[in-house]
Amino acid sequence: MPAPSDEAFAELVHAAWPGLYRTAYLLLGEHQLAEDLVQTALAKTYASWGKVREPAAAAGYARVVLANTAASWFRRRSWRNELPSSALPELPTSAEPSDRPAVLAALATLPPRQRAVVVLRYYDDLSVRDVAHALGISEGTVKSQTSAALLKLRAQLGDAVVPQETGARHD
Amino acid sequence: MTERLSVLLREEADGLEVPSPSTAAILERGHGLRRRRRWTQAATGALVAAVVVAGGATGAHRLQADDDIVDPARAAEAFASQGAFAVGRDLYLGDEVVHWEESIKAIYYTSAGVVVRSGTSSDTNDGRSHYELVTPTGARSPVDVAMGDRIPGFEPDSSRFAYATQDSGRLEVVVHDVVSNRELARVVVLDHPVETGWEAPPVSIDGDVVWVRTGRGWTEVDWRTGATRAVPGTEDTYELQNGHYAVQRGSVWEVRAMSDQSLVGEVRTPEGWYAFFSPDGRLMRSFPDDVPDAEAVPSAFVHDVAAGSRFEHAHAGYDLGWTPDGNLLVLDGETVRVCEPLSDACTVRAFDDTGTVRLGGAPYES
Repeated sequence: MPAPSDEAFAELVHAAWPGLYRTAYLLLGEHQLAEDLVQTALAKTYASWGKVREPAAAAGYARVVLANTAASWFRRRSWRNELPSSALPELPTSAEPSDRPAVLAALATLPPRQRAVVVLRYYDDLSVRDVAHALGISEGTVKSQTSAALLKLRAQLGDAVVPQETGARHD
Repeated sequence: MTERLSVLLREEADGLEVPSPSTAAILERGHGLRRRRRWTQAATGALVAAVVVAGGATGAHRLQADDDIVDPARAAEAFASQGAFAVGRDLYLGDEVVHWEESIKAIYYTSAGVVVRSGTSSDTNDGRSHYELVTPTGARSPVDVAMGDRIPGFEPDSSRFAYATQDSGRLEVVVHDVVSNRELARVVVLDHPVETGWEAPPVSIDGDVVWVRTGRGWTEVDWRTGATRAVPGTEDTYELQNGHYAVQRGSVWEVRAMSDQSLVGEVRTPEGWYAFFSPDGRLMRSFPDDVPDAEAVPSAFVHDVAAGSRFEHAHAGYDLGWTPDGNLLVLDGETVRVCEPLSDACTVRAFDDTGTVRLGGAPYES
């Protein structure tokens, strides 16, 4: 596809930004990093526009780029120093504070890849295959990482949120 | 099952205060990424095209990294910030690569793009030269001048350039417009030729004024009215750009205005170094005249003339040019670095070709 005009791409940015930002925040737990991740993903999408099959697929493509970029950030040696997984997440501005930080706090205890698997599968509702593609890992790794992540989440959030019988969904 | 987990995640996400996107920043980064990718592809494409030319294709071969139509605004932006250089017979111009039929001898900046000087050899002293204008989008048009062995005057914010000629037995200054390819003026400065070491003396241009070296100093020529006057105090300089000249006093270069000889700045170099102006005259770069160790790669300084500040570009060597915006071009092996003049921030542009490298804004006339 020919490169979009700046105006057309700006429309895509405005339409896709909220959803991408929410995914990015759940992946990273920090506003500034989330914003940077979404900006990076959208800029890469613009630069690789020839790979987008049709305009309607652009947002989905940007989501894959976002996950892929996050995975590359996680692979950086210094990532754990930049975002210690044991630290509590930055509290989001919430319309209804209640006990929401509990989920984020539990997510924050997961290693980055396990956290990404959980967010992409249970928030973005991607299949195991799509998660594997987005993160550049095998489907078997997605399943094993999911299993390990859910075990940890269950310990923190209880059986009511993560029941024992939970298996690999979306296969 | 995990429905509850999904619900909690969505509630969490829905409760987030989402900041507004910075569309301009995203587009800027996107444009930058796109340029870098196009550069990589274009450098590879240049080798393929060379095979096509050898196979008998004729005429101009304008190469693009992909099938996109070149956006003139983006091409102009890329040209201004990245400048131009040539490797053998390939001209790298902003985001574009243009294959040339001859060896490229020198590249001059104008407001309409670059004027490429080419011939059978990349040496400016060897053989006839041909001149063509290449716009930032890669479009080419002839510039019908026969300048030979002389130093023309260009300025990056104008489509006009000037040169001197003594072919008629008189010293004349000629002003030519590269867009219309038309001679705008021809002014007789002296009714006899002068001896300067070139076929005709060097010139410099700034708007309506041209300066030409006449014997021991420089003469100012208003090419619209034909008025001329000798400029006092200019006997000791050949460095002249944008209406300023630089005179070396030991390790200090005094930069003065041609209009009234007032001091506009001082450039301090190590002892025994020489300095050249940038195409817009705001900066100078200096380098050692002589390096005791022939294998050593010397550093270069870039000086902000008005501010008096300088920055050392370590081991930048002698192969240095400029972009029209005043960034430094540094030849470094098989890459050209585009560096901010007063910091160590650089981007790298790789090329796969072989041949003599010519950097935009660098003097190649000896």
